[in-house]
Amino acid sequence: MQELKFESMGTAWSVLADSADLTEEARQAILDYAGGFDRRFSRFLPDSEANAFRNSPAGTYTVSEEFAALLRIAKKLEHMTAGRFNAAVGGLFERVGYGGARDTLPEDDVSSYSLPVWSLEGREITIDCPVVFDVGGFGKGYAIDRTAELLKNRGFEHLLVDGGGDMYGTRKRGGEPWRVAIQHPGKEDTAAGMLELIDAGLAVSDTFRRRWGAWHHIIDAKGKKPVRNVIGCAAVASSACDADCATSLLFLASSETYPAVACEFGSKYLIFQSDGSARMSPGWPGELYE
Amino acid sequence: MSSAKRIGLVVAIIVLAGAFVVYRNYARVQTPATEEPGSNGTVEVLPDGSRRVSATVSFDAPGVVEVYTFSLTLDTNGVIADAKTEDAKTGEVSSHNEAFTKELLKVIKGKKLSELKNVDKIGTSSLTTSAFNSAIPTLQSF
Repeated sequence: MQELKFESMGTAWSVLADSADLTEEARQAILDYAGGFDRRFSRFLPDSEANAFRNSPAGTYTVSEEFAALLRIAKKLEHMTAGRFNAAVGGLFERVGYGGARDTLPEDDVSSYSLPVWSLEGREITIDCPVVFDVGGFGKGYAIDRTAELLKNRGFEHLLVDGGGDMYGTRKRGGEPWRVAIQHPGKEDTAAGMLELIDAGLAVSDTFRRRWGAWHHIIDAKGKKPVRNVIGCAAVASSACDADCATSLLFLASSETYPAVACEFGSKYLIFQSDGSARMSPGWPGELYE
Repeated sequence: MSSAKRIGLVVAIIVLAGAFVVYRNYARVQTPATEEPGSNGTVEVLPDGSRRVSATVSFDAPGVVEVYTFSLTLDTNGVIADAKTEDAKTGEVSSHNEAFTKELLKVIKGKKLSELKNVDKIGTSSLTTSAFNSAIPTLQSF
C-alpha cells in the first residue's frame, strides 16, 4: 500500500493506492490538480475565480467551464435550502472575520449586511453587486471525486482519496471495503462508529473545527448566523461530492425533511444534534458505538 | 267545460306532473356521474391495515397526453410509508419511499479510537492547517 500525503485547500490530504504503486506521473497529476483547484477556486487566494468579482459592478460575466460546473451545484443547493445555503456567502464570512483581504475589523452585527444575488446561465453569471464566492460546502467533495477519477483513468482500481476527513474509496486489493471510523464531533480521540466504504464517498463535518468568537464555519446565509441545532453530520453517497452536498444541506434543513433531503443525493446520514442525541438513516453502512 | 272533462284534465295534469317528477328522478339516478376530466382517486385498505391512496391524472403535454398514477401508502398511524409514481403508458414505477423512511434515534457513547482494530481511515471534519489560522489574524487579539 502506498500513500501520497500533501496539503491543499487548507487541510491535509492522503491518497492511498493498494495493489499498484503510484507512478511519478500519477503523483504529479494529483498534486497538479489539487494545486490548480486551490489556486482557481479558493476564496483565500487573491487571483482565484472565487475572488474575481470582489470589486465588480453589477453585470454579466463569463466564467470557466469548471467554475460554472461548481456554481451549478451551488445554485441547486441554494434552491433546495431557499437561500440558506448560498455560494455568495464569502462576503459575509469576511464581515465576521473569516479570511480574505480586509482593511476593517470583523463585526458581529451583520443586520445591515445584504447577501449578493447571483444567477447562472451556461458559463455566464449575473451579479447585482460585488461578490466573493465560497464553494466550501461541496467543492472539496468535487475535488476528491476528480482526483479519484484521474487515478481510475490511469488504471488504479484500489484507492482511497482522503481530503482531510472527507473521502472517496473504491475497495482494497482483496475486494474488501475500506474501514473508516467516524470521529465523534468535538471529541478528537473518540469514534462514534465504524463504517465500510466501498465505491462510495463520505463527507464528515462538524461545528467545532473552524470556530472563532461566537461563530463557526457552517452558517445559514439567509439568517446570517451559524447553525446551532446540529453539531455534526456524516453522509455516505455514491460520490464524495454528493456526500458533501448532503452534509451541507442536512445542517440547514429542518429535521422532518432529513430523509427527503438525503434521498435527493442518494445518501445515508448520521446527524449529531446539539442535545447529544443522534439521528441515523436506516441502511447506514456501518455500526454505531451506542 | 263539463265536470267530467274537468276531472279528466286535472287527472291528466297530475299524471303528467307525476311522470315528469319520476322522469327527473329516474334520469338523475341513471345518468352516470360526470367524471372530472382527466382524474380520479381511490383509497384501498391493505391487509396490514395501512391505506393506499391513489390518483390517476392525465394532462396534455406538447404533442402527447401524459397519464400518471400517484400513490401514497399511509400506515395505521397515518405516517407516509411509501410513495410511488407510475407512468401509465410505460408502466415505469419510481418509488420515493426512501424520502419517507423512518430514521432511528440513537444515543452514541462512542469508543476510544485507540481501542479500534483494523481502521484504515478516520472520517472527520477537516483538520485545519496553518491556512485556517492565518485566515483569521485579526481575531487572535480578541
